[in-house]
Amino acid sequence: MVESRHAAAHAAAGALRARSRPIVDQGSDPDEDLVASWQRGDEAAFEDLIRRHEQRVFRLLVRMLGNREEAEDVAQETFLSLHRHGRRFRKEARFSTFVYRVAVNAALNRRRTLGRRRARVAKLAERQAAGDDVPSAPRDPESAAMGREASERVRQALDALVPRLRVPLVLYDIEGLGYAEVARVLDLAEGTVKSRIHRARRALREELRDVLREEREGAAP
Amino acid sequence: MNHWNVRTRLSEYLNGDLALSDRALFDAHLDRCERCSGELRELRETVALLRGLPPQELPAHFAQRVMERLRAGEGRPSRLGRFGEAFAELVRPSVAGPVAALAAAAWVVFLGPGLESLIPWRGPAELVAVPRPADVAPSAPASRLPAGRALRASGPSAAAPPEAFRRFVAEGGELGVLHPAASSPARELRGGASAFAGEVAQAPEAGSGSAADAALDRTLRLLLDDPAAFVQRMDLLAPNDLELLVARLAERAERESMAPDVARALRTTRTNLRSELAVLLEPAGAEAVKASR
Repeated sequence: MVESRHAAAHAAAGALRARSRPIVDQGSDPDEDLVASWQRGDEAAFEDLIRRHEQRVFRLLVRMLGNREEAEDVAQETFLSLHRHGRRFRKEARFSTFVYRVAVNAALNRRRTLGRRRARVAKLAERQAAGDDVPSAPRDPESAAMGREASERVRQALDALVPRLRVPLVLYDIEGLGYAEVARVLDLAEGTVKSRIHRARRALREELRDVLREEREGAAP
Repeated sequence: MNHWNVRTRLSEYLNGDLALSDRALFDAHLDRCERCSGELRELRETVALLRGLPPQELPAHFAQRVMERLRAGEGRPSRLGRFGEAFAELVRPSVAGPVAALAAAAWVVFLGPGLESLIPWRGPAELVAVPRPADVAPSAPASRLPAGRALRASGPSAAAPPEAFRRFVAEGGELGVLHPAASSPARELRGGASAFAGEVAQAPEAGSGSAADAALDRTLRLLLDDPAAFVQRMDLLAPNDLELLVARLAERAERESMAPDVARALRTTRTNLRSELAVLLEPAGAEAVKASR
């Protein structure tokens, strides 16, 4: 009993660690050559940079803003801002860290402009009530079993988290960044990042207790 | 390895980020503690739910649309004179926030609605008349603290905000207009409140009668007397400000044995901030919130 519980915990820990954690040496930047070309005036290089990072930026922004249309809009603004200001980018960090940081700030600015979080959650609820939901394929067969309703509950719970908890959680658990990179993106100490991720998970767990119970009952033999 | 040590680091354990020696201690604790092992299971399940969210596919031709907007002139670098300010504002992580602003936030919460305009995270632009220092002397409304819950007497300096904050308010009084896109208000807040922030951040532990204790006590009174107003004001705070203020409030509430009362007050509010505050006020706080479901 003891061994099986530990084995399960360690297996889960290993799976979590292995999931999309960047293996790139902190000293190397896969975008270095493209950035250098762009900074020398090669606009095609910038388009390549967009294509490299567009998916992760959009994914992050959907989770931060809870709305695909806004996420697309802010994603465009993110790259326009990068183009506007990024020629001065220096190699203090990887370019992807810089991209994430610009995207996070753009999303936070957009949320402020749109007003209080409740108004936005209300908008989301209106869209859902009107049947304007977001069709998408599950990531894997396991998540297909989660169900559309549970998925929606998770999205709502995530959207309801305060930004200072939601952002590090999304960067770590969904985008797969390591603690150190999340800390660099958000300009926080690693200890603060760890603490916020933990608090975010616990707050999410509080909001999703009934979903967790349903999932557990549904999985029971 | 006690409950507190384990439960504050369960995510690290789950992520496989603990040193071997710590992991062994965690294993030993989890073997005999159903509560902690139950929480670990729920955290694991929560993370699985989160990671099971369906992927979001980017609309087609996204990169092309961005390049079209660039060719239309939308992504041109700004003038050098505005570049530094705009760039700095763009890349300054808003979620980090200045620790110094905690000082302003802590006082703003109980000093009155007029000073709320100085909180950088306010939504729409507003023209605000910021009260002069003489107008913001804190008052002590009749409190509905539970019987037997009189807070310990605060020190003699409780009535007067520290000098640094007086200067900050005086400087802020000339702002007049706060716009969310403006970069200067945030910087001025930081600059003006930095001295006071040093006083609050380095204040002695709760219970010593300091001015910081007085500020925390007033905030706790607001929480108990008008929890909806308390949560509304908490929601206005910048991220780091709230985190630090709630940590100090939690510490104070625990010291005054008020955590269950705080949790019951939070239970009456309708906001997701309640969950976060309850987590911070555990164990007594979270139990009371759970009991309310």
